[in-house]
Amino acid sequence: MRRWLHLLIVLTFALGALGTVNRNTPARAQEGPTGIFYGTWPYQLPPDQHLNSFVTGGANENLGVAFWPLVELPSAWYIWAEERYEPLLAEEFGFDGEEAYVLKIHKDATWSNGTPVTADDVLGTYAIGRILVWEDFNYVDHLEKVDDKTVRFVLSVPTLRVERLILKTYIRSAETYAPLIEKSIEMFESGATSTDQAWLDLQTEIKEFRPEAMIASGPYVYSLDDVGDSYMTLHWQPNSHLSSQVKFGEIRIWAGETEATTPLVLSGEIAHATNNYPPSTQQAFLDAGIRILRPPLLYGAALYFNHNRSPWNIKEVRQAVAMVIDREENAFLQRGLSGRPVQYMAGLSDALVPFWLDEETINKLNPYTKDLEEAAALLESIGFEQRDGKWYDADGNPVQGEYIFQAEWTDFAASAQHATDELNAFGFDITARAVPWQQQLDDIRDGNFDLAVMSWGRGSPFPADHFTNPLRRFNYLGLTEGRPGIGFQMQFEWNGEQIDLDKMIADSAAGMDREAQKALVAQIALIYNDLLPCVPLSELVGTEPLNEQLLSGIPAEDDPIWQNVNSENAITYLILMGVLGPAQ
Amino acid sequence: MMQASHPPQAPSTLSQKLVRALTGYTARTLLQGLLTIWAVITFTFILIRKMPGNPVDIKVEQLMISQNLSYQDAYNRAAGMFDFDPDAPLLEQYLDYMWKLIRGDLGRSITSSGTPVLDQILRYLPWTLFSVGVGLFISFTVGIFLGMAMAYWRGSLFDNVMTAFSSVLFGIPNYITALLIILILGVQLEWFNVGEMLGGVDQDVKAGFNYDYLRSVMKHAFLPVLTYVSATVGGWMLTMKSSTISTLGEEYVTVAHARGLGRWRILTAYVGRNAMLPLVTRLAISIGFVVGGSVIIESIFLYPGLGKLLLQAIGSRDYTTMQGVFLVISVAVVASNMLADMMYGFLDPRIHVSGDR
Repeated sequence: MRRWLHLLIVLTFALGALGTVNRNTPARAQEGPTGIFYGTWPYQLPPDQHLNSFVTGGANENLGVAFWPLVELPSAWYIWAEERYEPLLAEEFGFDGEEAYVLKIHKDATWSNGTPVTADDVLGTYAIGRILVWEDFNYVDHLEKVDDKTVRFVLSVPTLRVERLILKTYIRSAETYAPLIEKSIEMFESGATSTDQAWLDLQTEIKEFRPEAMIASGPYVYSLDDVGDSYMTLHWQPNSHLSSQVKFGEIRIWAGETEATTPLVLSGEIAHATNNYPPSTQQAFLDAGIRILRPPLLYGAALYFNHNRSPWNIKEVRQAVAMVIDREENAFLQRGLSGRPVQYMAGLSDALVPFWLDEETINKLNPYTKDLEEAAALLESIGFEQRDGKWYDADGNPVQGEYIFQAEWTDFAASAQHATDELNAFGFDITARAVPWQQQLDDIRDGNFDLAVMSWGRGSPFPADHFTNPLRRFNYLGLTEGRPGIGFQMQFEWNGEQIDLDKMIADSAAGMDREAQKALVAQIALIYNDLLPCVPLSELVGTEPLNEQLLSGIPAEDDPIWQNVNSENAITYLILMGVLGPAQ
Repeated sequence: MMQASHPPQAPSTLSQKLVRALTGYTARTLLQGLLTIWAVITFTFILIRKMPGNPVDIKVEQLMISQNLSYQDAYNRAAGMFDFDPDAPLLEQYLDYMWKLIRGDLGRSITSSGTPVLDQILRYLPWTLFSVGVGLFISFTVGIFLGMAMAYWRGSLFDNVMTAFSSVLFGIPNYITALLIILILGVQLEWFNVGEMLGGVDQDVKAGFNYDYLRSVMKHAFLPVLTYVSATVGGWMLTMKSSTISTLGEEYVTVAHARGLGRWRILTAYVGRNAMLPLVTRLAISIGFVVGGSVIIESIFLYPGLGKLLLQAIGSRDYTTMQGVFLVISVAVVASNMLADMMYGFLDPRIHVSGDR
């Protein structure tokens, strides 16, 4: 009896193995375009995944920046090379003086259930957003409905930044969230604040709300039945004002992270992926004839100093460190061709420098090219000396320290280990130590480090956002009380002037006068370049495989759209604009 | 004058029966199991909260990077997203958790607000039980038969080849095997379509006890099971070989040969059953760990098992989900150990526990 049972199980498995020869034919949309776009995103399975896109586990996370815009449209899409916003859900937008920002919804914008997108949807989205303490309300006082399609954002703090916040907000259907919108408005009008229990209870209610269906403003829609273990499918829907121009009938999103998607890319089952792939895998893609897109990320690895510890609190030591490390080598070790050495060392992305700094300022910047002799001369000028190949400070103490790096982040780990080798070859005594990345964040914030590798920069068109990482993000000003962070003092004397760097950075993003902002940015860049609160080592770009055999209409390599940062992905935009289509 | 010894008398009153039941082996084992589970829950509760980072911190980092928020803005928004207060005292969190657990409530996922942990576990557990359970069954069955054969024909070419083969298999980590299967057999040799083999079931197949669904489930389980079997069968083979060799030297086997019994009968009824005894305990413990799934295999094959859920929960510091999974694993391991203890006494009549005559 037992033997027959064993045989039955083995035979069943054999049948299952035979099932590998069948190829599933993809489901076709019943009308509209045909063809499938194959992408990837690490989504969760139900019941973790749901359709409430305001909170964790919703479309915001499970579709991500690559696919969420295909379902719920933001008002506009930023074209980086041209520094302008391309209308999407909105058709007109702009500042009304310094007091307000006006947004007009596209006249043909329609939800997937056939109802028009209106100002009420915008008001409803922001009503809930206020309860969830969105950053927008640092600058927006309240919203006013002008007409069925137009909303006026009355500003409390005039700033160019608010435009980006408003235009990048994904507008949700008021019909879906109607009960919550009403409660949110009542809560705000009652005068309650975000620390009141009633407000917190409403936040919980918002978090636990589970819509039964997705009402989409974009050309694609899905339900939880479309979410499978290995892929999920977005289906074309006819009612969006962009539906007639898109060329794919389905968007198929493979699940998983890099290890799961690598074989799918290699076997030609993914047209585009946004994962980070190591250099060896990138080479395998290139060998297989798959192109690698390298969109700017506008951030990279930097060497952080603990300014509360000697000798890292000495400017000349930091400058010497910058001249010891070969940034080109360091960047390449991080991500191969997707690692670019930082050129300007100005604290803002090299990509933004031409837009924000004039030639005179750029010429004043020290590029800190690798020069061991100059680094040595700099140290000697402040009383350091080298004995038996090791450096000692003016008090005779050896120049030593521990360099902590994230054990799980291969690129940053490579950067730290390379920098350690370079510094030790120069004559310092540095020990590299791997720690869990969550631990490393705490160590930096608590000031428990000598040197650390962490990111600098930000995927933002505003230099202030770049400066604040790490000057606010990991510095005492931006942390909770008692946490010193990198300990870089933001008030000091520089070139005979009293500087409040924090105020300067804030002012460089405030107001509406771009030229005034540029002047401040230039000054901050020169200060940053001189004082080097951290040494920006690399500026990373994406490693996105693009299988051209599965697509048509791919723009030329010099098309400005490829300069879009990956959080405003070029591929997503090209799908929405109907430029990309299935292979012919 | 010698007094006759009195045999122990069966309990007559209810209270005597109750005392006997409560102090009996089974009761003691159950109590020990419960204490073990409580200790594991408490230990993991404290340990995972001492891990660097918490769900709010991780979300803060994500928001700061993706939405360019300041730390304070990101913290305010992240704190509002989760039903979790990272500053609540540890004892308060523990008592709250234990109180809910006693009432059968495993709590709600921190990172997936509003989702009961029990729902998450019930979503993923059957897949793990199926794939890893089948893999374990096949691995064990094949392992003991091959191990016995290797021992019976020890020193032969068959034995030498299988010993080397099993050593190599056992030495290769399961995730390497998984990657090799996908990259070499799938991508390079194209023996199967990689995308079609991922996941737990085909999406367009209706769930139910029907041929299409069962065939789809079997198809998608094939690679994870193959990987699991490849990684573990070597261990069973080598252990069974060792156990069989020591059994073959027993006197009763010699007597069986002398009595003229058939080779197959000796191998199964005399050698096999006795050589398998040490493996029963290991099998029982392995059954307990089946519940935990195989974290990396399930991630590589996108198989919707408990291991994948656990990996996700660890990465996002979803404490309640982690605790729920650890609870399930610890209950399964404790239960399987108890089962192993009881089975051993049944399988080998020579073994008994004093006081249980």
